[in-house]
Amino acid sequence: MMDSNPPSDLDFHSVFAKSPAPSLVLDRRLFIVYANEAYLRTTMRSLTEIRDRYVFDAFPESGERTARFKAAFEQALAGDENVMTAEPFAVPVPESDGGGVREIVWTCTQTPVPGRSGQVEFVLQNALDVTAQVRAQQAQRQVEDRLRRVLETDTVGIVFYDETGAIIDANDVFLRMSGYSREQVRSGELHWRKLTPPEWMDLAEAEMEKLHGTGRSGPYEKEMFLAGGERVWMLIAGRSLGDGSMVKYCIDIGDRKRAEQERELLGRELSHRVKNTLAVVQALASQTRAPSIEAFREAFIGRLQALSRAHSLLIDMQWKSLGLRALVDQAIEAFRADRPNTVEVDGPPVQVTPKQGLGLSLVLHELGTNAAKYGAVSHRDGVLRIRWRVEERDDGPWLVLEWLERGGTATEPPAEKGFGTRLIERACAYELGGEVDIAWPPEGLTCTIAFPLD
Amino acid sequence: MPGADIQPEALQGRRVLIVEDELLVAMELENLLQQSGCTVLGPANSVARAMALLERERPDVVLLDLNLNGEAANPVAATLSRQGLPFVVVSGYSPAQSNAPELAGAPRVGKPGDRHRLLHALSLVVRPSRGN
Repeated sequence: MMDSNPPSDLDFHSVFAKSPAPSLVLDRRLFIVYANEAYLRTTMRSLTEIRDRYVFDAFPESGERTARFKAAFEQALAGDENVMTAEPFAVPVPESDGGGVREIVWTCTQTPVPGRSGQVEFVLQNALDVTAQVRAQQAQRQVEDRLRRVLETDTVGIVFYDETGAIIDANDVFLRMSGYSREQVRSGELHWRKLTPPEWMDLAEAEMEKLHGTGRSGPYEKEMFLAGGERVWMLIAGRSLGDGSMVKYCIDIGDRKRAEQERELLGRELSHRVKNTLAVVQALASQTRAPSIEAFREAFIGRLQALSRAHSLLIDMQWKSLGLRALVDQAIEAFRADRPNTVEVDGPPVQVTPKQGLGLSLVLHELGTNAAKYGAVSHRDGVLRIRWRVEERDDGPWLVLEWLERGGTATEPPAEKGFGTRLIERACAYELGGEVDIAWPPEGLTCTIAFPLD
Repeated sequence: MPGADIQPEALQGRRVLIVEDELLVAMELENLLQQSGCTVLGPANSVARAMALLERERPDVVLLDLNLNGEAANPVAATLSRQGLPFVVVSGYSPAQSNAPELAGAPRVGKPGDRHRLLHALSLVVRPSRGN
């Protein structure tokens, strides 16, 4: 059996004095009896300075800290060892060392120590300096806090998967985006396959494989099922976390995708319209008849210009409606300046639909060209009257427009219906949904166009 | 060579319904078909007008523009298929843009149209007349 007595030459006083654990001994009055070297070093005091002084006189503390330490000392004196963890402690720094206060943090153990009588006569305070650990913990908490804020970035959903591919955690943003509940996420019922629409399965498989193989995946775009069964477009990137689990970042790109689709649709529509316009130009070219190339060019370009000007008007009006007056003005613009007294225009303000406007612009152009070439405008004494009014009919308001030429050269109906006449008749029936009456009395051409206003 | 194998006689005396919203294009088609000996029905510039015409008349073949003032002409195509009436699609859209089942099997002529291709396509789908 080992001898429990220490060797005879061991001085317990020296052991206590040299112990690296800062230690302080108080008596029952809480007067300092002794402090070892480590304690004196930490508190930057000498023993003579503090010995036989009331501990809170030697080390003044705030009222609140004093109360807690006092309670701890008294508890020990009552026989209960106790520990105060990570207790801040203000160490006054002597003037010789720069003065002020050094805040340290220590964990103090108060141990009852019996005197020779066997009764608790003293309290031993063992103070462990944990300042460095506490500071490190604080720094760690700061890092974690910063990371947590990063995880809660408003637009980025973050999802954690276990090695089987089941979602085990997600940030609030993802829950908000997806509509899944925290409980569903925690339960592990949300496997990535369950969130992947069938046509996206191949891509998702490939990206998962990449994630397992290389530790990274994406960024890629795919649709994902929301809690309600709808789909949402996501931009996704993944990273394996080293222990088989994975994290994925996702951003809702629905708005961008919708814009892309709209652009695509617009592009298709534009291409369709361009082809349609070319078809119209081709139709105009193939139906314009003229005795010479020069005459053809003039007639063809004149018709094209009539359409083009009507389009310009439409663009100005954002394709909503067209003022009849502007259409009429365009049709007679070419000769009105030279023959201001020849042309009379009169009618109330009327708006027509884009389709009607385009049709009407062609009709008025044909009438105008004819008047300038053969009709009233070609003759010094000729007069052209363009008048219109709105008539209430059974099916709503109709526009009735009269084109009257007087005093021109004697006119006669064309021997064969030319393109111009056919166009006027067709446009009135087809584009305007109305009727036309063209007459060639000796005194001049009369054309009455009537169509319903929408 | 487009046009090399046109059989104008195949179209002689045939009744062709034109469904086309663009006035000038409709007039051009009308001209072309009349020159080829066809009787032109319409032209109809909307789904409603085309349907109304089909209730009264039974054309031998139909020229169908897919976009009628922004309105899809597919219902007309569906009706034609149901009635077993052959038709040729005239459209500025590419086939990929208009691959609805009711349009399957109908020959297509792009827009703007080439008159030889158009007549060729018509002569392909029109059934031989009783006289032939």
